[in-house]
Amino acid sequence: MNNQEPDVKSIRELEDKAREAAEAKDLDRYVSFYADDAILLWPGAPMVTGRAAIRKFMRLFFSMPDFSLSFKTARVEVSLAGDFAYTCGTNKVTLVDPNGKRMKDSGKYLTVYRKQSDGTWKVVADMGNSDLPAPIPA
Amino acid sequence: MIRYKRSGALFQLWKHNARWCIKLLIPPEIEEQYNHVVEVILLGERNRADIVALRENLDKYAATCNAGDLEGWMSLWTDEGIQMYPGAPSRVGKDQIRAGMRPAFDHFILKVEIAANPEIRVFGNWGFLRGNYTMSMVPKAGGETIKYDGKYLTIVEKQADGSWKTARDCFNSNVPET
Repeated sequence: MNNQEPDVKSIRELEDKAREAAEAKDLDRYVSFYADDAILLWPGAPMVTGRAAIRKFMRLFFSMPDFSLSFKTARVEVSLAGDFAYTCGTNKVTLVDPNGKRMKDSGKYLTVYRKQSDGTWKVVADMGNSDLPAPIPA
Repeated sequence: MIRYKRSGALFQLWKHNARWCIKLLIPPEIEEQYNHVVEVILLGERNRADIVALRENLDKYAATCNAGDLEGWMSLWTDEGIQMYPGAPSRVGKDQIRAGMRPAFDHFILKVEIAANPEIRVFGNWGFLRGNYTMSMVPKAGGETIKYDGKYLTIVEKQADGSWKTARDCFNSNVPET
């Protein structure tokens, strides 16, 4: 596994930076981690295809004053050829529902990365779901 | 022993003793322009069998659900697989996955349909599958059918015997919760 260690470290660092961007609600920075052709598989909505569409989708959430997103990387696996990787982790989301009730949710995520031709890693598929039967009032 | 040979205007590609060999027939000074063409063709040859196998795994996922065959469905998983089921913490390992799925197989008639044209990508010993699916669950004891319109992202790992098995499976709904 030694050959994968540098890539594992790079991806962990990327996820740290993405988490900082999410916690700061820095939309441009958060979306920059996605590839042009990335797909977002957010619960409760159809797939969102392409970075531009992902940006538009996430802007809805980032613009909500009571929305927060944070996550923690639990595991990183890199292919032997160093061209593919995935991460698993946990996440926490809070938001205000259409009735004005503040909700919080704990969940898990699975993210797929592809190494680009310039050696950088970008997200190509990003998915998650809740650990809870339904989001609980915060 | 040469088992396969294909010639083009730019290169020759053949398989010799299970190894692929290539000979470029273009002058070295313009060779670089054609390297990406070579890479695309090599990847296509190498991955086709894997992509076919993974498509068959998807079909088996649906077929075993629809037949109520829990052990057949479980055979698709690695021993250390993790099922990231919505509405519950992750199920780690085959015992937890089997225990988590048994109520659905025991108490419902399942009908799973995998949407056409899933994305299947192979990267050597790993790969992923992404797509949409629908599922209906008809209670065996009677009652209302539960319908699910969802999407999945599945990480697969090539085993020592060449077969592919699911290492991580995550899915969620395409429609908001009501």
